[in-house]
Amino acid sequence: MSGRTAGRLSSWALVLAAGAGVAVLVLPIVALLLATPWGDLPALVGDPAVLQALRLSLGTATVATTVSLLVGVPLAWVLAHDDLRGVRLLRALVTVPLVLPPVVGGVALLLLLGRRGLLGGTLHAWTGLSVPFTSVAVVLAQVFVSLPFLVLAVEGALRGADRRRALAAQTLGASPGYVLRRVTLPAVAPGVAAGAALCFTRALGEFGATVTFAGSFPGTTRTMPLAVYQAMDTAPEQAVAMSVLLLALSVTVLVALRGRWLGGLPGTGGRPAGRAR
Amino acid sequence: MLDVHARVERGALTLDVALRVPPGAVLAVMGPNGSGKSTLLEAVAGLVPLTAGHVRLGDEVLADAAAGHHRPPARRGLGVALQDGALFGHLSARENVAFGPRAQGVRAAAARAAADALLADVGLAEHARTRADRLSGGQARRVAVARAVAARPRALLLDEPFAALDAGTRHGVHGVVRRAVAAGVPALLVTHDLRDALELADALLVLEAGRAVQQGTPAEVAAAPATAYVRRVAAAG
Repeated sequence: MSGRTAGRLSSWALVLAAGAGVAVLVLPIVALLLATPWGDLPALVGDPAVLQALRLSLGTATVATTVSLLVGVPLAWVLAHDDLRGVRLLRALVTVPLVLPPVVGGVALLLLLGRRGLLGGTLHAWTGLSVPFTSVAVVLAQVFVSLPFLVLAVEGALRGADRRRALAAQTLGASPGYVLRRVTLPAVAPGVAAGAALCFTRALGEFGATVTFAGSFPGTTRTMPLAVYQAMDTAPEQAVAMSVLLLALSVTVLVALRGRWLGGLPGTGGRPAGRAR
Repeated sequence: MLDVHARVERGALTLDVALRVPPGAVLAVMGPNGSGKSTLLEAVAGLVPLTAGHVRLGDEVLADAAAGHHRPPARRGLGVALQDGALFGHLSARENVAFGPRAQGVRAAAARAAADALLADVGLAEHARTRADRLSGGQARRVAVARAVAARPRALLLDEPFAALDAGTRHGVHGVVRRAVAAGVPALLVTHDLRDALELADALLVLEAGRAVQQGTPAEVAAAPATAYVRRVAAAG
């Protein structure tokens, strides 16, 4: 076989493999769109049970994203400073929920905050409050699985932010806090936005940890993914309609980010770094 | 008096230089790429630590390697223009110039008015509201000089502030530096153009591979080049 024929064959194999990859990603979505009862969609989506799940999902995912921003940005800032002691261990810990099956996260949350959990027992004895199977549990489950996405995205943006700008600000007499507020954070804002969007969509899609730790109670813990799963048995058309709705929400977030999506993340050539000397 | 003995090890470069700049004087530093000019300036600013030596300004010790003393850059009271400007791209030219005074607690209105005056001095009055990341390279350098001067520094450190400027604008920026220095401020000026040294500097120090290879007034150095590099620069100037 000549080298040229071998080259042509291997490039065909490459195209086929890539095509198979695209098929795996795209065909299910196509199937979903083909199965969608477009005419009945308004009625199906307008169903009180669907609206209830949608409201709960949007509400909890928004709160979860807000909480993640409040604790995640400072955490990312700490992780971006390699010179601090214990940072590498901390990063490993933060990454664990990323690779952990969400249902395991739900079990772990239950063992921490359940009535007989590590903290849950004390909490209940002192305050009479119980977290599991409430909307608070939904938010906690979402934060647990989505916070790492935000932290890693923001950390990447913080690292990518040109260090020389921060140094220049220091020479002008700016305190570390002032540099963070006026120079570093505005420079990483696109990365923070991308991280928040990732976090929001991940929270919106959360299933395993939620169903384990919060259960599936209409109005308080049955978010959209849980409602979809429930409806698959009883009202498949409604499940499809809700799935299309979730798809539309995710695509909207993606479109809203567009350029900024990649611009704030490191290594994507979003903005040129200053010349290092 | 700015009194510096800086020894810095950074990658392949070992910088070891001693210099003194009296109040109101300008010391120009020239040298080929990689000779340690920017490193010297960053060491004085406190952005890179000294492995040996000291930085003194007046009767204050800003850094003393032997004593393990290193005052952070934010508390050195210096006016620094880093190479290529290092402007804050998300802020306007005016906000860049007002940044130092604002960081040090000057009121917004006063800081802005002072910034506008300085921008006019460097010929950028009409660009006060332009975002810094939309400025050209030469404009960014002029804003960087104005920003360094705005905070009323006790010493000025300028890294190639006049690169890519035409004769007219260069003259305006020279004036800004000269006025700041006239208030009794010592200035360190990194440049690759002998004309800047001849026009502005009281003394010239030539660096090669981290060492001073020639010192004197700019005219003296230009008249009697000690190395091939200085000869080349003198011929070009």
